Amino acid sequence: MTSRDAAIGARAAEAIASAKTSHLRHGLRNRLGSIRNAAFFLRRRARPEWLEAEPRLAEFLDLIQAEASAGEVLLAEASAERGAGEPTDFGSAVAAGAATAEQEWTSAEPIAPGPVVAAPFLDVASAVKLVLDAAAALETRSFSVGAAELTVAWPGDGTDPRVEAAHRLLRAWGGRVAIDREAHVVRLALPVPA
Amino acid sequence: MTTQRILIVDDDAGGRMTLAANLELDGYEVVTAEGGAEAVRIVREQGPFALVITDFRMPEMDGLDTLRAIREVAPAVRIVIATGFAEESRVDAAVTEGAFAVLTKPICMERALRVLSHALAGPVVVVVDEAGDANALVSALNARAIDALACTLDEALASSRPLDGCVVAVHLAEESKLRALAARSGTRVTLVYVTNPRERMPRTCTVPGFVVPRPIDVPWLARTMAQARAAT
Repeated sequence: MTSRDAAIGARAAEAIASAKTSHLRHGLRNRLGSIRNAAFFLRRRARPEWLEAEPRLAEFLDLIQAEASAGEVLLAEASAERGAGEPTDFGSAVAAGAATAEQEWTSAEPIAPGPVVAAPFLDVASAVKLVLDAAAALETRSFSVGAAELTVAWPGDGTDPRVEAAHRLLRAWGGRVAIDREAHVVRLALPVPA
Repeated sequence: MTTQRILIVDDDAGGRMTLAANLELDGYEVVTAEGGAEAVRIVREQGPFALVITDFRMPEMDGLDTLRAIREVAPAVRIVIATGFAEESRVDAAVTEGAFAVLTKPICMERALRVLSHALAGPVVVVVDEAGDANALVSALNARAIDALACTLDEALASSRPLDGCVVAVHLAEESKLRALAARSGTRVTLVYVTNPRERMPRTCTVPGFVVPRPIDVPWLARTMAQARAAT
C-alpha cells in the first residue's frame, strides 16, 4: 500500500467514524426523547391519589424528564462543537472518504460489460467494508441516488458474503448492484448526494 | 362531537408510541404506521384523518414522498413533519408544498400537543386584497392544502373561523382592524403586508409584520406560515 493509499484510507475511516458518531448521537437523542415523552405521559396519567400516596412518584417522573432533557442538550452541544448538526448520510460518508480518488473509481458512465475496473487504492475487502461500514453507520437512513459507481472484484471462489450484504442494503436503499459471480465482479452504483 | 383522528407515521417505535399515548390522553383517536407506504394504505382504507404527523427520515419513503403520496389520496389533509434535520432541502420542499408545520425531533411533547391542537382547529390564512390578486393567492395556497380565504378585514373580524395568518395589501391595511384581528385570534397572527412597486409603508401601519413586494412569493409564504405555526 502506498502512502497515498494510506492517506485515502485514513480519510475514509475518518469519514465513516464521523458518520457513525453522528448516527449514534442522533439515535441516542431519539431514545432520550422517547424516555422523556414516556415519562411525560406517565406524569399526566398518574392519578392524584397515587401522587399523594407516594410523592416521590411525581418527583422521579419529573427527574426522568429533566435528566433525559439534559442528556439531549449534551448531545446537541457535542454536535455543535463538532460543527456537525446532522449525520452525514450514507452517500456522503462514502463519497467523502473517497473523494480524492474519484477519478480512479467513479464513473458517470452506465455500467457495461467489460474489464474489471478495480479501485487502485482499495482491495475488495476494504472497498466492501467501506460500503458496509457506512451502511451500518446509517442503517435506517434514506438518501438520493447519484451517478457515482464503484466497481470491485474479489479473489477466491463464490461471492464474498459482505458483497451479498452490500447488495441487499444497496438494493433496499435505491442503489444499483450488479454481481457477476463467474467473473467475481460486483458493480455497486453508490447513492451519493446530487 | 366526533373524535378527531390522527395518523402517526414513524419508523421509530419509541417515538410513535409515546406520541400516540400522549395524543390519546388528550382525547384523539390515533392510528399509527411504521412507514409511508403503510400510511398511504391506511389513509386509503381507514380515512379520513384530520391530521397526519410524519417522521421525515424513514427507509423506503421519506417524509416528502409520504406527504405527496398521502395528498394523492387525501388532498386536503393537514400534514405535520417531524424531523431532526430541519435544514434539509427535502424538508423545505415539503414545507413549500404545504406541510402545516415542522416539529424538531426529539419531539417536545408539550409543544407538539400545542401545534397539533392548533392544526386541528383548522386555522385559515385570510387574504385582504383586490379580488383578482386575492383569489389568485388563495388558489395558490389552497393548491398546497393551506386553507386560505379572500375577504375584507371586516369579514375576517366577523368570521368565527380561527385564523393565524393575514396577507393584506398595504392600501387596505387598517391599523385598528389589524389590531382587533390579532386580539380576536387565540394564537399569534402572522401578518404579511403586500406592497406595489415603489409603494411605501404608511406610518400608520405599526402592527408588526413582514413587508413583501407583489407578486407574493407563495413558497416563501408557505415556509413562513409553517415556521410560525411550529412556534405556536
